[in-house]
Amino acid sequence: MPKARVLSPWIFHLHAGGCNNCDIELLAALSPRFDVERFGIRLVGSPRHADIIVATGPVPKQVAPFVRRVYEQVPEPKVVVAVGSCAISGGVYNRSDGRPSYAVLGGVDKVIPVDVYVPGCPPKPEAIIHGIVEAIKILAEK
Amino acid sequence: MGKLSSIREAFRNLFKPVTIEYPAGEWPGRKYSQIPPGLRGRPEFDEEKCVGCTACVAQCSSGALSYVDEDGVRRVSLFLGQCLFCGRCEEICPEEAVKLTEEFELAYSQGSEGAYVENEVELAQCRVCGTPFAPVKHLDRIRERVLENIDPSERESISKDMDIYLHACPNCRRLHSYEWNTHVRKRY
Amino acid sequence: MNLATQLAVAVGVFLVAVALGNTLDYWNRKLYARMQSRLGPLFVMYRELRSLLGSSRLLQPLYDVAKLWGKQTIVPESARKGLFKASPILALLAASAAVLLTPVCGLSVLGCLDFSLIALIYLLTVVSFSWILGAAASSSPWGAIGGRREAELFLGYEVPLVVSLFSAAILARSESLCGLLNFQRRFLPIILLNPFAAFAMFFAILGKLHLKPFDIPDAEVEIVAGPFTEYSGKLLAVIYFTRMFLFYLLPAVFVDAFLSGGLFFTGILYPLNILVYLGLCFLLMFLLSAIHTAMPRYRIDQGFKFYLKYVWPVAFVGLALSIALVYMGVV
Repeated sequence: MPKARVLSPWIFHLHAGGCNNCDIELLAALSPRFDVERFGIRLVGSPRHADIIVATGPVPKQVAPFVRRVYEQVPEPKVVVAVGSCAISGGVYNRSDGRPSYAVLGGVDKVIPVDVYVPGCPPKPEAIIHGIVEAIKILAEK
Repeated sequence: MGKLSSIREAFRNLFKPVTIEYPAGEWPGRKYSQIPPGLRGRPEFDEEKCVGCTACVAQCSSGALSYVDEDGVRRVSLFLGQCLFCGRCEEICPEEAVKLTEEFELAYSQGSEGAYVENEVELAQCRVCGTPFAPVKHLDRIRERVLENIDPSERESISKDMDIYLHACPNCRRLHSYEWNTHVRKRY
Repeated sequence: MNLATQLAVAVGVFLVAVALGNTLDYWNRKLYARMQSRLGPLFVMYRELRSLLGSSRLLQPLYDVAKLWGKQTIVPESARKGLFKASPILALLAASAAVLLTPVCGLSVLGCLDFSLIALIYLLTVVSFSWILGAAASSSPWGAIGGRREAELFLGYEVPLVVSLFSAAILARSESLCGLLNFQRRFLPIILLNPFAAFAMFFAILGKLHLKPFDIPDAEVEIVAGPFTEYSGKLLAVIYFTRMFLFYLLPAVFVDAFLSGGLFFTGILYPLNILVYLGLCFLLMFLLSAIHTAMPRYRIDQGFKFYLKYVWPVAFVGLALSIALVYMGVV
């Protein structure tokens, strides 16, 4: 019998700048087509109710303190999933030599520790579900 | 009465779910997923066709592709976390060695090796000074293509000239350009 | 009944409340999902994922409570800590006491006291009140707005709830739940005598359980999580557990007061009443879920006006009908 936190992981969607494409794919993962509520996963409105933080977007410099604050409001044990290329390394918002542009920090892991990375631009909803299941496996160990 | 019709539609949906049951079935659930043909997934290098010309590195939109020359080997590596899956590398590759597959389950956790796609090509050494400067396969391909596309009457002399300068690094070509005399002006 | 039997019945009633509350909450989530043409929490998990994710999601509400119990409890620094921590516990105690008062299929510990209906109404009020106090104590703007909206909605749904239960009590000439059951066993289910009161109570239940169109205080997109925004960990587990109790209590009180508690068979067929009771609870939840799925959320002023325009008049008409029926000696 797995632990209760594997059986009822609640998601909080943290939007840190970006073009919103990854957010649309994440909401598609919650829609009837790729229903994740089959596994008890729920989208909650308050970070204090959440287990899994799903972060999208390269972090523009003005959003960085808020991302940090939301991360600290989530109670332990928690996992962070960085969805999309922007959240991993700045994605489209990079110069061609790979350094981030002047307005963004270039990735969520510059501000908060990330456990699972889901590449894609945007990742398919199935890829996001795959990433969230990997995060649930990590959550079970914490 | 619009509210009653929405309740009626709710009842009609009771037995008609439209859910794609991912990840049921074999894991990873390719059988139950909806993959449109031509989906732009993870890029892959064909090791036989790639010549290491780094055109893809120059063309990459976000700087995910990069290359490193060391130990007589050129390693081209693609960081999946920065890749946009835009397909510009596939478009520009002269040897059609980069292809975007249909794999989309690319999630990886901290410290795992799944984030890089790499390819190595051996570098040729300059026959004069010995420094490695360009991949062997690239030089061979250049020779093939030039000889293919050139006017057949010139093939013989161009081929003899290429034997002299092709496997020399740009510095040595500059140093010996007068004595080798392979410049195209000698034909006009 | 002597003390030992009473304790046994009390424990039994608690277990039934937890089990039935869990199942009715699961039933609500499953219907909500199915009516949106998606699968809900799975009753039978896929075979390949059973070792990772368990074999059935029937106990999903209890899993939620168990998971919340194991999380870190964060109390905001600027909150009034005593009231913040006390209000969910007060709500749970009131709900537990209300569970003891409600007859399950005719059996109850305290349901036959002379004033049990009035005590039940009072305890249901205490649950809502302590949530409003907890929202006020959390010192966050979401709590303030959520608490204010909950208070306004509380005024809207509590009056029809009380008036319709009193209409039933007037017909039965008794203020105890056992008295209501006895009257309905002798005569007719009160829903046939006074459908107005049942209608008003149905909408009061929609408001009290925070089902759409009245889930205004929990409005996720608008005010983060309303009154419960700053709760986390063990306190939130207590709140969800109380919510599970409410999911059992309100349909059970409706079935007891208006549908004769499921007691249709007598004598040797008495155990069949259990099936009738469960069937009526699930049918009521089905109707509530249908409205919950099909309707969008009202604004607070629209919600309150709905109660004032449609539900309050029906409740008072039901009250007048009860008084008239008693006065004319029909009942």
